[in-house]
Amino acid sequence: MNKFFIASLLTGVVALQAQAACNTSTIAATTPTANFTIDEDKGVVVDHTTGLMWKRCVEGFSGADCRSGSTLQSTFAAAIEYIDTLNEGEGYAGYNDWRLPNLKELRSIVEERCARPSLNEEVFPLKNTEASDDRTTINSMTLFSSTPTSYFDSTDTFIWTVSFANGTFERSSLGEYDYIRFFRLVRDAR
Amino acid sequence: MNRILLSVLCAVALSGCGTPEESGDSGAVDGGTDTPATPTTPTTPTTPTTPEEPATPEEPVTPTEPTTPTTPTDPDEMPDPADYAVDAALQAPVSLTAVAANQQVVLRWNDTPNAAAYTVYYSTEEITVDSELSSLLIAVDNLQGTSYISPAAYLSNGSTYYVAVVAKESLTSTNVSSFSPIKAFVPQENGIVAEDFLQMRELNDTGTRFSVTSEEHLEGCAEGDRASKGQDCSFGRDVDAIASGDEDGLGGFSFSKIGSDGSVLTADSEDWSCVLDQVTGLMWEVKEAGDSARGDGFSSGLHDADDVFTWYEPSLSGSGVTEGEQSHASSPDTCFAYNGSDSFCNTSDYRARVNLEGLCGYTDWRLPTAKELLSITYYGDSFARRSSYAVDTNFFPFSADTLADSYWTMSPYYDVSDAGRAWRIYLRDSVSSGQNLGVMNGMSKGTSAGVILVRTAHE
Repeated sequence: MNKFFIASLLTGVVALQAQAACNTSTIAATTPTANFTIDEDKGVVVDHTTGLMWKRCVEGFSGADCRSGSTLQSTFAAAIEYIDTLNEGEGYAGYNDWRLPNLKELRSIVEERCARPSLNEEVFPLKNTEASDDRTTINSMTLFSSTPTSYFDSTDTFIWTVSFANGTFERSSLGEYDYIRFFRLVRDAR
Repeated sequence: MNRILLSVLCAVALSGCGTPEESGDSGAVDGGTDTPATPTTPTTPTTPTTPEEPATPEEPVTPTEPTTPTTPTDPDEMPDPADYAVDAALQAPVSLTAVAANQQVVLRWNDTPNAAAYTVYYSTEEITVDSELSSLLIAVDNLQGTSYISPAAYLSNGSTYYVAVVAKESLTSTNVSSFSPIKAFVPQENGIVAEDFLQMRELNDTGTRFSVTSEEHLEGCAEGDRASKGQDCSFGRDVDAIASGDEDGLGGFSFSKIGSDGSVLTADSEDWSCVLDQVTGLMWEVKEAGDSARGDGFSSGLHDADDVFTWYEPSLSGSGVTEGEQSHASSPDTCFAYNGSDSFCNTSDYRARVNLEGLCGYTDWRLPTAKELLSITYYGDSFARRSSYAVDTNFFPFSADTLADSYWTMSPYYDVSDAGRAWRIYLRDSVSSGQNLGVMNGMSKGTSAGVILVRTAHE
């Protein structure tokens, strides 16, 4: 277990609820359900504002409510390999051009009026488990983007990640520490 | 209603309604099978139609597009699209999105400076930047809008279509711009309702044109181990750098400089006050590069890049989201012409002063949302670990002496409860360590940060 997994457990402690906490009265929705075409059968959604098609479930989970399956966190290299295998094989929902979203694309599905997770769960459901460790991990999950970066004076290489605890940006090591993170797939519907 | 629309479509058809025999040429689609024609390609060999009724065999034409030509002009005065010639000096649309639906497509492109109308070309054969206009079909001519939905049930599911848009400076001109980005699409039954996508906007790309491996930062894209494949640099607007290269902004960015009077300037202009992002349709305030001096008597002007402000939005009072702080608790003198009052160097008062000034001729300046400020954030230089800026400094000048580093957005930051914070982004790195550059997170509203105002130029 690496130190970042521990860190996410610590920051997740304050989120006792299984569902996102949302301020629906004052903060304008950034991902209103009306912005999306939801295909429950295929497990995909299309964002009308960007023309991007997303898998509804974070990888590892499946089903109309994303409550089948289990957590899948992997290194960045393993995530790339996983996507290659998917695209070279059966694909998903009839498409074989799935990829990781870049940082701006990934941030575009953050629901700013919700936290832990900062998602509109009508569009992007998250598994709601009874196991508290699992729940806090899922509700504050950090996802890989495809955008590389660097950090401080480190010679290590990094990938931008977005914490869906609240939508903030983080850098995750690709080399020396090789962090494991969640990831969600996207493709161009446009 | 249908008849009127049809007559307009006839008037703009590539082949002309009165010359259906020409459609054999323009409509000839190699390998195009019996593709149902669009309304402007009157016939195919297997679907003989009269000029007035360019219908598919299955169902009558239902021109559902809400953006039908609004040309009030007498069709006789309109130019024949067959006479169109490319004038490379005209600005082409820089963004085009095409979303396929069932036997249909919805297109959206950017409002283009100096354009009065647009013509949409398509083909079932690949369109390249060198394609002759005369070799292509016209979906719609002289369209005074920036979106288009093909009529229902005109396109063949499973077939690949190519599409590009050109701009015209006037309805009667025969000079057209070069192509917008060329897009391909395959109509299919996918549950997409075309009308839902009329306000679609391509997201700005990140500017990233390099990749990293588990070992090193690469100069180029996807040249290393497996982890370097599938990264940002392989996808999006940055890949093409969109025809015009970096002159209009690094990578896929496409900016125009705007003068203080609101006029569109050339990219090499050295005196500009605002920047129009042609992809997003947002116009941005340009700061005057900083010199490490700010406050009353030190700031060099209203738009000094050194100036910082507390986050304050009085309309939020009593809403459950904190309205922020009118003034910094200990250092209130952080902006141009500070007058000693309790409410001056904050976001709300600054916005009011800029609107009073009428920057670039407009009075609807406001704080950007988090998504909006992120749209101009540039992630292409992070590879050089000592880089200091996360914006394209050719359009948004910063100097190494600029004091402000992070910039406010109007979006409240929420973390289970109102945290008294708002979203901000580090657009420069004042400590030269790279640890904050490009980061977006929440910051206490009582803290002082930079402001780059924005306005919606094109919906």
